[in-house]
Amino acid sequence: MLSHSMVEVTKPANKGTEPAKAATGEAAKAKKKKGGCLKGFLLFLVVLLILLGMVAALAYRLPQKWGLWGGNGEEYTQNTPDPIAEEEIVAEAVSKGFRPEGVQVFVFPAPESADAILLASYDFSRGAQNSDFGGYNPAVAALVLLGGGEKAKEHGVTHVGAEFLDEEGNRLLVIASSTEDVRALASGQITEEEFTKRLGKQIDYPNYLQRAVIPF
Amino acid sequence: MTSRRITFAIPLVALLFVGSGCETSDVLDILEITHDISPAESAGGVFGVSTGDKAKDAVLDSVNTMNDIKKAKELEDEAAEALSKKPTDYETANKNLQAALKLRPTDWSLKNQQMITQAELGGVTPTLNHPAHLCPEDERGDVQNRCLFGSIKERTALLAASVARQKQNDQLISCATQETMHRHYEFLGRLVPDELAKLGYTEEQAEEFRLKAIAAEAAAKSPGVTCRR
Repeated sequence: MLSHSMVEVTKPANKGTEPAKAATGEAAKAKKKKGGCLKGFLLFLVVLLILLGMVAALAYRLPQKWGLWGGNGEEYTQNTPDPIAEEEIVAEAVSKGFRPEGVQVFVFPAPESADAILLASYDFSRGAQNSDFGGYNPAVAALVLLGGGEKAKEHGVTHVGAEFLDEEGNRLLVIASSTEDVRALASGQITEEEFTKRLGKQIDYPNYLQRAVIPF
Repeated sequence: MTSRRITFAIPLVALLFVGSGCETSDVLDILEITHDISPAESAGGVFGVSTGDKAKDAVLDSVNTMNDIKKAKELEDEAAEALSKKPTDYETANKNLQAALKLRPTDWSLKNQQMITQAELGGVTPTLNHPAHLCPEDERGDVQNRCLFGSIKERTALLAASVARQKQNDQLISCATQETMHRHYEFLGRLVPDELAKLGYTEEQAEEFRLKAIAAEAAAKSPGVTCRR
């Protein structure tokens, strides 16, 4: 009887602790769940930050700047630029309206042929000015003036490019074309629009967005 | 009252920006060619995707390897400016050429300029006295030829400028410059017509070179009298 009453007494007590146990269990579960959520969120944040970092590194062209990957530019630029070709090509371009102040012009010999590439670096922070020529966009005019002349042909220039640095000396844009396309444009075989489509373009996105999309 | 003020203020503030994006500048004119840039081009611009033309890719990529070349070119230009001063500022010219050579140790044009400047000051690095010694030995074919022909032509022009400069400074031509001229013109005078043509020189010019070589050899023989020590 005693034991029965005890059972009877303990029964309700048991009944009372079960929900309490369940409540603490759920609280622990919720706590655990909350901790899991936080972990997940932190992981997501880390992944997001890594992704953003990668996009920023690509936009700033850091892998290329650090030499981690790149094209075959160095095959050309490790050779001594041809000073005579540069001088003659610039002199011919000046006679047609090219403004050489603030512009460095390099003619790099090709590694395994008599060909060469020409690269002009327009630095607007050093007083570079656009040249008016043939009614073309100034960037196109630069390529036509430097790559479309007889001297460029004489010195085996097959491709011509120009980089443009803004008023603070930061790179904005690089363009490249074959001199074949330059001559096709100059002779009217292709339109400026078609020529522009064929151009190889490389944009410094952070700077470009600031200049072209949010110009003020 | 406040809301009315805000209503007036917003258009006024907005007006400050009207037209600011329409400013014309050389940089914005250049950017016009990018107005129809395609998504593929955009991606290519960021990821360095090939344009399908190896040399065009090389031109685009070369800007990433140009820092030392540009810096060396600036130093070279500063050296040229120092050399054109009256009296000639040899110290600055030499310092800049040396700094440029540190950046571009295999640049034959810089070596050529340094050699001519040193000759003007009275000393010559013997190994650089023949243009062929400026060219990288491991290079063959077109690169070697371009270096050889380029450095010969450049040296002819540099020597002429050096002589003019020394005369302008009311100086006797240095003995080292005379010796360098003797070797260089003698070398040019021995070239066969085919080689002369490749350099863009005529037979008449070759004869002039031979005469100049004889004159320079004679002048170099009497230091202190016909040439500056």
